[in-house]
Amino acid sequence: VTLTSVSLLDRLKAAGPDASDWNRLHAVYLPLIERWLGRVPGLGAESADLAQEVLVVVFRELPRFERQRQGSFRAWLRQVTVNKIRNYRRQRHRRPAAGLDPAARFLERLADSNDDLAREWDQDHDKHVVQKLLAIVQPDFNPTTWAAFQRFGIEGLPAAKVAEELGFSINAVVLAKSRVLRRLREEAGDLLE
Amino acid sequence: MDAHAKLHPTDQTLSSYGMGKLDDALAEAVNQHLETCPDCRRRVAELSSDPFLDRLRDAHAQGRPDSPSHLISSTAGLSMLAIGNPSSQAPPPASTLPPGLADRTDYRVLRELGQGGTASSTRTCKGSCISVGNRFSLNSPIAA
Repeated sequence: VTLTSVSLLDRLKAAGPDASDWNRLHAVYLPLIERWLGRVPGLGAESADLAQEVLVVVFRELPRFERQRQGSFRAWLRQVTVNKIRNYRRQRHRRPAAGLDPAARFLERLADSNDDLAREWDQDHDKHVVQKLLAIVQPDFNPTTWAAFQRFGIEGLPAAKVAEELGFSINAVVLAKSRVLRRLREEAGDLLE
Repeated sequence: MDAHAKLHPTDQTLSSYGMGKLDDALAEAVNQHLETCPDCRRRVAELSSDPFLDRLRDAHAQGRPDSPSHLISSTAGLSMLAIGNPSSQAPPPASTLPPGLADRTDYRVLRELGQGGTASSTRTCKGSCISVGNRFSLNSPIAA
């Protein structure tokens, strides 16, 4: 079976990646990282600059990233984010004078894959990336093709029912799903796999 | 080799087609075959095991607004669905939280309810959730 072209992460890891691929990764991930840095106690206004710095690390380290299991990119990104904040705080000796360190506790929980906070990151990551991917890809398809993909692919309705609803053949519904899925995989499928 | 194996794509090929994993030439060949083969159309429609699609479905379901009307297949509805508004349910930045709330580690801020939050807007918060000043919704993941 001849499979489709390489994914976004593979393109970025290859020699001389296209700047548009980096822009795509940046556009998808900056809002997510900014949102999470905004939750770190005590970071405040610094979170926007730090989010950019996290992405700089991602760009630099991505060629050495090896996908080892399902969901490993989001876990890797989570760890890169935690490490960047820890380094930042260490350089600025950001420690409370006494007592608990809420930011350190937050980062500890975020780094622990079994913690609820890390699981929340994972869920938020997937939701965010899916929304971004769908928004990026949708303009490439006509509305009826997109509707067939939504109803059959995403909502899981029977192909025959979707075909009747949209005035398509069953084959057109199946093809619509295949075409949109292929585009999504090419765009950034490995961000979710 | 029997006639079926000669004339029809394998289940693996049909599955890859359904998942959008085939290149242009092979996808087109399968598509042409499907135009005239109801058996293979049925098979490809039934071959739905796809971890990537499962993730899309799960993530999409998480981001789904309460109203099912956004799933109507109009262009406007789909645009709204695709782009969504994740920030509406996202936790507010720590910098916007009132003094004493941002540094809590025993509670997690789930979302801002809005100024003058109402009972209806807090009903979605279950278990050990509380609202603070009718404005922020929190829960206690450590206690959960």
